[in-house]
Amino acid sequence: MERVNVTCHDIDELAGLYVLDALEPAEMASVSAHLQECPDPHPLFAELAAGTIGLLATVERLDTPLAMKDRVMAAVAVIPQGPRPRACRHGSRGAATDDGAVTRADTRADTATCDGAAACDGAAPALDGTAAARDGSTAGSHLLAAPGGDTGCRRR
Amino acid sequence: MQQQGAPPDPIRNQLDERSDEELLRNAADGAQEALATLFDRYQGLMYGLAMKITADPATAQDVVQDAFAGIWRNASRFDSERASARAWMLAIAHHRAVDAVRRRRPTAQLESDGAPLPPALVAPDIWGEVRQRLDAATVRIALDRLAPLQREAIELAYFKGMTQQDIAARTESPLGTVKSRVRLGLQTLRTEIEAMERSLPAFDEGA
Repeated sequence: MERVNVTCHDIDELAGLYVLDALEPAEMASVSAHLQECPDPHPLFAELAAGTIGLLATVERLDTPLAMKDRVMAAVAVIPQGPRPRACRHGSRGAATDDGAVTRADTRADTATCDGAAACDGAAPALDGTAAARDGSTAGSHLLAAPGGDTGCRRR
Repeated sequence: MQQQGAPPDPIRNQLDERSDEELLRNAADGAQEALATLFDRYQGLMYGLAMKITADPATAQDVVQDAFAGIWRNASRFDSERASARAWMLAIAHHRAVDAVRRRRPTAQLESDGAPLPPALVAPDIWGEVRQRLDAATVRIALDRLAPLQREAIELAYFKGMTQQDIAARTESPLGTVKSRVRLGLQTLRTEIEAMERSLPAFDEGA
């Protein structure tokens, strides 16, 4: 997919459409990549996402047909799960114990120190909570964190 | 014979007490029953959302199935620092639904691979409680207070799966106008909802 180059100025203009999932795919990919790469926080995204969450409150719940759960679980049973991100020694994801418990304090403390750790697949820089979830398929990855792209951003 | 009102299934009940985030972590560890519990919690909202967007039961059911498959496949990548589990899961479902309606349009630009990438639907934790407490009618009031063109742009985007180009064509407006209507509308919506949140009585479990 061709990537459209977006600057910090452009990206805030696109924030509303981005949080509504209303950009064309190439633009969507560009904005996601920018949020991953850009050292500047883009708080507008979180602000507008909060408005989007309000929209969800207007959705009327509708139960799926009874057979749906069996259908979903049967489908899931044969789906391999994606590779688990390697444990991040910076601790930003927290270490899951055998019973699945994760210490919340562990997940908070060191997130920022993951910044720039190229080998760490635990969690990308927090970007003030605005980075892409993106189906999880690149979320939590440092793959896009390498600086050097022309994001037009102020560098730290 | 169990006493009336006792949990019929202690294991299931134990799972039900876990947070969405814990259930996602369990699912990431391969626990299918954790995903089943998430299904019980969210199938109604996801199906309602998918129906609102696709207006077709068969498509909407496919969306729900695809969403849970995506959640299962990517559960280990969920990052609670970035989004609530609820926001993350619903962003996946929303994106699948939008993808389904866009595929019906001959002019749509489709994503080049089979793994649609929803945007972040990320908000500070405080919104978790807000959105649980506000009912549909309250938010509808907030929506109704928006300038009609702002509301239209937001609803066409979020509930009809239209891209900015679609909205610009439909409303005969320049792209820049669509962008600013959406942004201003969402900002106003947030402000209105925050004001309503403040006016709600203090949260009381027993109420």
